[in-house]
Amino acid sequence: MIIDVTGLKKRFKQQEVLKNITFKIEEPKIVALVGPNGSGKTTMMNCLMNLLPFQEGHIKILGKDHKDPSIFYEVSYLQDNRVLYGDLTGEDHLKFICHAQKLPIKKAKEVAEYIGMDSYAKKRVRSYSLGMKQHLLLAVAVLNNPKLILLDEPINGLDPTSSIQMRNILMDLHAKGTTVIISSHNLEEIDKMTNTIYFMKDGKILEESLEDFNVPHYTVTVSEPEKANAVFTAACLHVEQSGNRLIFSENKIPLQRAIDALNQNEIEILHIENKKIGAERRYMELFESELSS
Amino acid sequence: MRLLEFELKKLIFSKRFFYTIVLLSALVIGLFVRNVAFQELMIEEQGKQVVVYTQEAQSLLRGLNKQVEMDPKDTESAEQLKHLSRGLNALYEWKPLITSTDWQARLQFEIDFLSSMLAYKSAGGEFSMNSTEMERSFALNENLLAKGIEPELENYSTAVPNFMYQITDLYVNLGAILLLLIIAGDLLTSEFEQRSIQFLFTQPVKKSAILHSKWISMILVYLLVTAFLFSLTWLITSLFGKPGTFAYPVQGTRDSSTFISIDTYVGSSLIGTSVTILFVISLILTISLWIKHSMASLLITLLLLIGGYFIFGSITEGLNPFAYVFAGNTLKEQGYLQNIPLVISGGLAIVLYLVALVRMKNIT
Repeated sequence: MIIDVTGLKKRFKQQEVLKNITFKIEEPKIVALVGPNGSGKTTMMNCLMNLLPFQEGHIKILGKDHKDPSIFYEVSYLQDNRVLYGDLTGEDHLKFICHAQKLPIKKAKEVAEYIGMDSYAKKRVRSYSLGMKQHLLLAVAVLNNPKLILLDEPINGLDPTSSIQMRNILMDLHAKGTTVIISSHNLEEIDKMTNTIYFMKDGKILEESLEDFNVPHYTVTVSEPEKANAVFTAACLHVEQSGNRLIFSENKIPLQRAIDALNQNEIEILHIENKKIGAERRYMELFESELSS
Repeated sequence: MRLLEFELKKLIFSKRFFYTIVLLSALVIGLFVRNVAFQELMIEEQGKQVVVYTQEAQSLLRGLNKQVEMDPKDTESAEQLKHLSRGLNALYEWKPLITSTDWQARLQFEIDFLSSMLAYKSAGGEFSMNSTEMERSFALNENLLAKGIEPELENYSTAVPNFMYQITDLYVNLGAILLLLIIAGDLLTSEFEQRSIQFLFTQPVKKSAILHSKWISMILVYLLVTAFLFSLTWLITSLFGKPGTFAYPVQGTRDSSTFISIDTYVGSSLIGTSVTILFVISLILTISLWIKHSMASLLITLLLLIGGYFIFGSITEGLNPFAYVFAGNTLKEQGYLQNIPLVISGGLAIVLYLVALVRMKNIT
């Protein structure tokens, strides 16, 4: 068991920020935490890492109590870049981690090279750009070859090259057996990394996976969308309409059946397109009320 | 890189540490330059003061002469006249020696003048120079003469020991504490404010080890700054000043006949300050763990130290753990280093540290 969270409740004064969160991660995977600001993503990560106390619930990380500092030999947390010390160099940070993790000092150099920050590792962090800081944070996080790595919005503000590099490193870590928990607002990047997404809203996990949505979808553009929609509704089949386009799920309405139904009702088909339901689409569905307001 | 090295590097490689060291150097150099520049002026001023005293004494003498002529039975005026005449004669002898290298003769005439004027004042005479000031100068000059030490201009000396005394006086009277608070007072609070403490808390490092390393690194920074300050002082005065002697007397403030030598003063006041620094470090770390706000914890610490010094000082002198917040003043007042306040201060440092340790273990 990598993570076992049961009945986690966290209040700040009277406001309940995490409402009875329960989840388990049993095997290495990439899990994305997605939700609007204030939904409780960072709070949950901080609770997992024992950086915030909570009122109720239990957390076990890699079979140990989350308060046990020895978990950090196998767990890393990539946080906000404010945690870095501006007066020290990147190398200072890495060497300190090597000592704290009881790793040979040469590992600092190896990781700096692996992350691609060896050219500026000896410069003071205060002179770093945002991307350089994120690279250092990533280097700090991967230095101990963690079994579990948590990343709080690591892609925000990064240029495309750095984002791709960050994604590749995380995918590489996952391939080596590391469980990655990443919170991000960049849903496109999330889609490229995983379909295990915990959508969070108001301190609750609304949904734990996009696997159900990982079936083929297609969009059919028709001449009479209202008429077409009425045909499917009459047959008790749910179809999503967007302008003159109808969106179908292959497992609910196979494409051939949809074409037949439209032909029978003499509705002209203008265009057919394959479509994957991604994090953004699901997010729009789950947070419809907020988006409309 | 060990945690202690990491903490120490954070302090020493900070811009604040650099600017503090630059400012400290500028202050030491500036003070020395001021002493050099004003030395002749101060000797001139001394000469002018002697002229003023002479004119005043002459005027008083004329009045007294008339008084005695008018009333030869006025024994009080006759007594005053006798002392004033002696004083005036000493002034006449003293004046040409102001710029002379014959410091023993100069000192002797100053002593004669002061003793005559003290006798004149005790016989009921009036003179603009304050009696306490005269007694203090008299005692100091006698001590210097007895020990065969050439007098130095107070606060304007360029001699190694005297300039070191001047620097020490500034450093041990709250100066060292202020410097430490400026450099490292927010060592813990800034970590909470910037959330960098999370960097340490997400490593397999015990929270107690974090506190130990911060405590030790603050001590090391204090020692480093102290060593730098005194090395710079010694270097400047050795190169551009004169040798002098560390046996030079530092006069007591409560009893003007009590003296300690500069070497004793520097050594004892630094011991007093160092113990107080341990107390201050424990205090600021403890307060930081509760308040987690830099400015507030610094202000509270300073208020506690200064308030404690005056409040405890007025209640109990011998048991005041804050006595060596102003180590120089306390030492000059007492005339020797008191052990009990040091033991209490050191004990409080340990107690506060243990309190901080318990708090740190439970903090998130």
